[in-house]
Amino acid sequence: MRRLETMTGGLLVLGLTLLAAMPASAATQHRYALVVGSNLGESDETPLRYAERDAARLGDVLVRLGGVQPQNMLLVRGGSPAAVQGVLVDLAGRIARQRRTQKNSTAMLLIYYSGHASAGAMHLNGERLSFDRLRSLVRKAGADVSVFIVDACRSGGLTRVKGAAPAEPFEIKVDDRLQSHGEAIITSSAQGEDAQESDRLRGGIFTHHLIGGLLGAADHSDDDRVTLAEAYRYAYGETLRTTSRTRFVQHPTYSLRLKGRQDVTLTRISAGAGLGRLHLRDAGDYLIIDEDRGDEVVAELAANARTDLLLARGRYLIRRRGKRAVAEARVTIAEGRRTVLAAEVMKQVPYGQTVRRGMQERNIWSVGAGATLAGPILNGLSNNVGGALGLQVDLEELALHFRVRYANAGGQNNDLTLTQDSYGVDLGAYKLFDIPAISLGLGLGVRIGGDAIQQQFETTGSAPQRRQWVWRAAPVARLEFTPWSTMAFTLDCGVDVHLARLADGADEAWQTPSAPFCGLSWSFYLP
Amino acid sequence: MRNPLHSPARVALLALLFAGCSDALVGTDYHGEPLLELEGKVEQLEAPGFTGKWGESGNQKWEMPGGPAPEEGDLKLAMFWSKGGTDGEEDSLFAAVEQHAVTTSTFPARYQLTLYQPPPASLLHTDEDGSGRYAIGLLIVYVDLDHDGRWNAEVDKLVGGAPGRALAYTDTGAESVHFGTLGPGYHRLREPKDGKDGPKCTKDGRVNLLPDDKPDLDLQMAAWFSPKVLVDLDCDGKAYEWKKACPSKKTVKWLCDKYGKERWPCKGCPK
Repeated sequence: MRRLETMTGGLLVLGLTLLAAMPASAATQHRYALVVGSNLGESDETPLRYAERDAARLGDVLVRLGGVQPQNMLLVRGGSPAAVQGVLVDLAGRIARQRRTQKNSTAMLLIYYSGHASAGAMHLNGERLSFDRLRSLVRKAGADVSVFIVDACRSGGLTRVKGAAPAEPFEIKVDDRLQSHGEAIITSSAQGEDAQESDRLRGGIFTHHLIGGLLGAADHSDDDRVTLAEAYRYAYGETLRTTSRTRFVQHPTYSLRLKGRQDVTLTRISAGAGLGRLHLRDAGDYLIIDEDRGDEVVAELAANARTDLLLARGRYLIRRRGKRAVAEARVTIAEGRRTVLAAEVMKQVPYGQTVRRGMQERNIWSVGAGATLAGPILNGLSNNVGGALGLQVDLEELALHFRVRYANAGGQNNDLTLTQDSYGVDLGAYKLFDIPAISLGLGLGVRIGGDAIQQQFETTGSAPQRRQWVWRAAPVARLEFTPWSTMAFTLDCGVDVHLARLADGADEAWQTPSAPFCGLSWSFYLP
Repeated sequence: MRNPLHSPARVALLALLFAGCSDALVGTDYHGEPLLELEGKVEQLEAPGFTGKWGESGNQKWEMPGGPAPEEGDLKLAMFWSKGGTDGEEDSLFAAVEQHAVTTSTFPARYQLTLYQPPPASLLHTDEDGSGRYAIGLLIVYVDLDHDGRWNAEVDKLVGGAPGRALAYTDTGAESVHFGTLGPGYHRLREPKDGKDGPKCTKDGRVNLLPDDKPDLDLQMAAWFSPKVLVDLDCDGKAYEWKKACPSKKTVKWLCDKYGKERWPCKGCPK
């Protein structure tokens, strides 16, 4: 199961200074960005893990695709309110200089904030900077359009959205209304909601999806431009979808005070400058993992049939999740090249691995049958040979395996022939480590159960039937081979330690005999 | 309030109780419920060929007519059942139960023998003038000369038994001139002691067997098998109805050559 950490008590405000319009006459437009990330809030707030990282990633996207010149993208990581205000004053100066030197130019200012916050202020390293003060400074900066993007808990207060039911984002015609003057605010959560970080995504959920959208996943119109509306719509949908599987659902909100009909394009999807294009030919839920950067999740997106993403050149693991199955493929993105990936060339991942490797959030069930061989715990008896039926559920951390089994053993001496039947149940918990390249999983586990054992004797003398319930527990080594995604062969071996009352001549005593065992089973994953 | 029935300790206790109510499991060292347990001494008879010591210890060893010296551990105890024959009939001893009994190399030794099975049903017979089925058996010591752990009439040698003492088994109870009336199961029987506690023979010429109340069933043995350690079922003064009691011609010759007529009658069994 995906682990999500709530940014408790924090407001993760995403202050996006709007990189507003990227019209055709680009020479008259200038974009400025203040990107702020702060892992530390106030002293009673749990430090965040990815807020500063999110800020850096977003700033990088704005420079690469958003038309912000590197010198105009100012990143504040872990800074104080004074530092943020100082940067804003600096940006205001730059805009003023632009006004003086380029009379017909326009300016767009995007402010992004990721960190702790309360309803009215950002929490920066133990100090507060009120949103009112921030907005006042932004207005004074004199940009034609300003956009705030705030990824923080309860950031919906900025947009005055109440509760958890914001207006449908798809009805907003931002591009049609946005003019060169105005303000847009996007928040990661509604008022009163928590914003969440994800260890798996290594970032804030909202920011993660926003960046994925800016990279191209949000280009709903297929015009190689991601507009403010498209970015918000995409981030809203994906954030809601991701957080709906967690304890706290997150509803991003927006507020627009813009006039006019000028398009506001946040990013342009064009390869070059270290970027290549990945074309996902088939619709589906994709996970893009950058293998050159420590398996970082670059994007998690619901792609339509013609989705293009811009990715830094390098090697990527692309994972496509269907209703049941997960498929993977490795691609190499080359600078300025377009790489097409079709679903049919992707290799299906065995179902059990999908949940263990964190690809599925639902549990995977399987049923199986197999043969068992266990050593005897009594003098002179043969090995216990039998079969077992099993039901297994694969969880992200463990696989739980319930079995019912039957085994038979026997022996004889001059006076009688002994037949022993065992009817057992047990429950095992296994930790498996997958080696996808060879479709193998190796694991260790513990199995606890018991057997109703019945001994019958064939003799001309007198030997009454004997019955006993015998407990057993064992460390188990497991080898799982999955030649097909829906089927697995499993070999379990270990040593059972029993708790049984055994007769030794005329004496009877509780004993803990041990016996090695192995079992081979064949299982199918359930739909 | 927490339900104590659901506490782990309670569950564990119930599990143990459940396990405790069941039967102890057994391996192949379990032979069933004992039907008869016998024990007693194994003694040597002062007789030629027996030195009282097994093996090659010093100059003493067990001598056997024409055969190899037995090794330590080859002395075994077996329950032999009569096929109900009389003199001159087919081999009248049937080894139904065999068990290592003598594990020491010095004598007297003690043995224990537990019988877990009745004699084979084919050995149970009914007297013409009696009722119920029964079998009479003897506890006999033999040397497992071929070391196969089983009685082999062609190779192994009988060397001892319990003088004048026998066992009877009846499945449903039996009545016979031998022993009167017996209930189902095993019974230990003995011959009368020199007529002091009754006639040795019945009127129709069969041995009269009485209940044997002595705790131990002692065994005696010698280098050759003596009819003295058997029971004379037909009361003819010789126990030759136990055919194996008859020394072979080879054995008789060996004994005569070695010990002379003064110590050995140099006679075989009557034909």
